[in-house]
Amino acid sequence: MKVAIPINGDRIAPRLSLAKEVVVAELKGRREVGRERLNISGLYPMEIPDFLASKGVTKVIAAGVDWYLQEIFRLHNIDVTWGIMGNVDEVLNFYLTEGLQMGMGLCPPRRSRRRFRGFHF
Amino acid sequence: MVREKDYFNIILDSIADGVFTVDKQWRITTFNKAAERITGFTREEAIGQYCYEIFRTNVCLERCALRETMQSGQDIINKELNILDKYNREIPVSISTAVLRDEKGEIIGGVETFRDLSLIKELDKEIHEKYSFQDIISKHPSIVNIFRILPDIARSEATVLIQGESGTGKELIAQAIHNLSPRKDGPLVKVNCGALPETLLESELFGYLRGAFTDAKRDKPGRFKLAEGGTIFLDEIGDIPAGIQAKLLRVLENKEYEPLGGTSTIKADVRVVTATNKDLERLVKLGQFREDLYYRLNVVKIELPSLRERRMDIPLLIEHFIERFNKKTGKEIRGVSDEVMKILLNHPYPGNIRELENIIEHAFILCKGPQIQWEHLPSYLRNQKPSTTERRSIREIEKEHIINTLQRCSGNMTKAAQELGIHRTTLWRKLKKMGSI
Ligand SMILES: Nc1ncnc2c1ncn2[C@@H]1O[C@H](COP(=O)(O)OP(=O)(O)OP(=O)(O)O)[C@@H](O)[C@H]1O
Ligand SMILES: [Mg+2]
Repeated sequence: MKVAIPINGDRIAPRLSLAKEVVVAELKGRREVGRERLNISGLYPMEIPDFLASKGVTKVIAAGVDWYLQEIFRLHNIDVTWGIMGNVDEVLNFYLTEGLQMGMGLCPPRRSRRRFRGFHF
Repeated sequence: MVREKDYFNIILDSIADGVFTVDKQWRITTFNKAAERITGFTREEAIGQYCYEIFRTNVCLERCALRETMQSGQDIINKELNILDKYNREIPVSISTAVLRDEKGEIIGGVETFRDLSLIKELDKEIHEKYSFQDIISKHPSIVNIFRILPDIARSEATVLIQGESGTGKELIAQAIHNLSPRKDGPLVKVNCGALPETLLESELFGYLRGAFTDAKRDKPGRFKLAEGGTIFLDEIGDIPAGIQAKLLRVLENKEYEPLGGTSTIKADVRVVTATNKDLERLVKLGQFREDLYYRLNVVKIELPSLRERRMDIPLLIEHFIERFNKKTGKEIRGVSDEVMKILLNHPYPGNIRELENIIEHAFILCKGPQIQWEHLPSYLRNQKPSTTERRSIREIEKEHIINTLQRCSGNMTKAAQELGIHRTTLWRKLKKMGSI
């Protein structure tokens, strides 16, 4: 299967509709067997689902995904897991080993509760 | 004794506006209670993260206000933008930014305050906008959602399928898509595919060349040709026969077709918008509609609810049509009587909005005074004697809709708000007004 992740540098892009690039990773079982980086900066947000579908993508992992895009992904039978933040490699690795949860936020999650550091004036 | 740092947090949390600070690496260092409320992220989730990954505005990576401030040293005050909250809702906010310096005057970070404008915007809209967009009137959440995505849909070249019962406004939507698109200066050509027999429809759509058949004395351009550079609106698409389905598929896939009697292909630069009151998916299952064509047409689907499902719109639409007929006829009718409103709110409208429009038009002919009365209604409505049960007010209908949605979402406010297409705080406010919480 192919999984697409909108990116900003090496991290998941904050908002899919504004992402300029996506990583499309090909997975076989629990292994990643291929990866490409695609430029989507020329697409209207509305066209992203269709474009990814044409690349054979069946799953999207992202941070913020505007609701209307979720609707359009649904029309294309592309499953969207939103609310995931972090480094693309780490997220993919976590997805393959432990699985992601919609809206889980930072991935991999922080181990211990870090103390509030505050701002030092 | 309260430590200085705690004191600082207490003050921050008492501020009604969202406040956060970042260090020079754009990592969030402070995040107050209001910021939690507006963004949906907890302080724990936010602290230490890049501000743009939490705040997710429409300008974050390109024209970040905080970056501008930190580069120029100039504060920015009350700039409007929108953020995507944790639950993927766009929230309009007004932000202000300033730099933070240490004792030596060195820049060590920035501070941003932001105010949730959704409530203000919502109230504003309720008063001013009267829920209209491109001549389409509605306050029903699913249609208001359509208003929001329509400009995006229009700008893209995607094929659109509009589905809805007769009279629900499919043609209006098609017109709006064309008007909002880059093709707006080109033609919008409408074809009712259900009205013509197969052979006629084919020559109507694709045209023919002289000599294609006995009567073809000269070339006739098809509607696709006439729509060149613009939009073609194929109404009743569910009625097109199999042979034409294949030809249409080819236009959509290759942007080309052959006129009858022709041997060379013609390129088509035409945006295709289609509509149907049939359930195309069912027709596909029944083998009456090509599946590949269905998928081509269904890139973007807009489903229009029936008027029965959006009774809250009835008073708005009545007002809208009265205004329109006042302009057209020069009359000065100001509204409908309570009794008429009661009947109109309870009627099932098999003909949807067109039926309501016809009812008002009918009443206009008969009505001589300032208000439409029972006797001005068409007889089929007058026969349904007004029931004595109390009138369903618009508030009650809205309430029912909200309660139903909440039940469907097992009481999950966030989900219900999402489904209703309103912000969580708006739902909260409405429930409060209804006395449900
Ligand atoms: N939301 C709306 N606001 C104002 N007027 C509306 C709205 N929806 C429909 N109308 C009016 O109702 C009438 C019917 O609309 P329209 O022709 O777009 O419906 P349709 O779905 O194409 O119907 P059909 O399936 O019978 O062709 C039109 O006069 C249109 O202006
Ligand atoms: Mg129509």
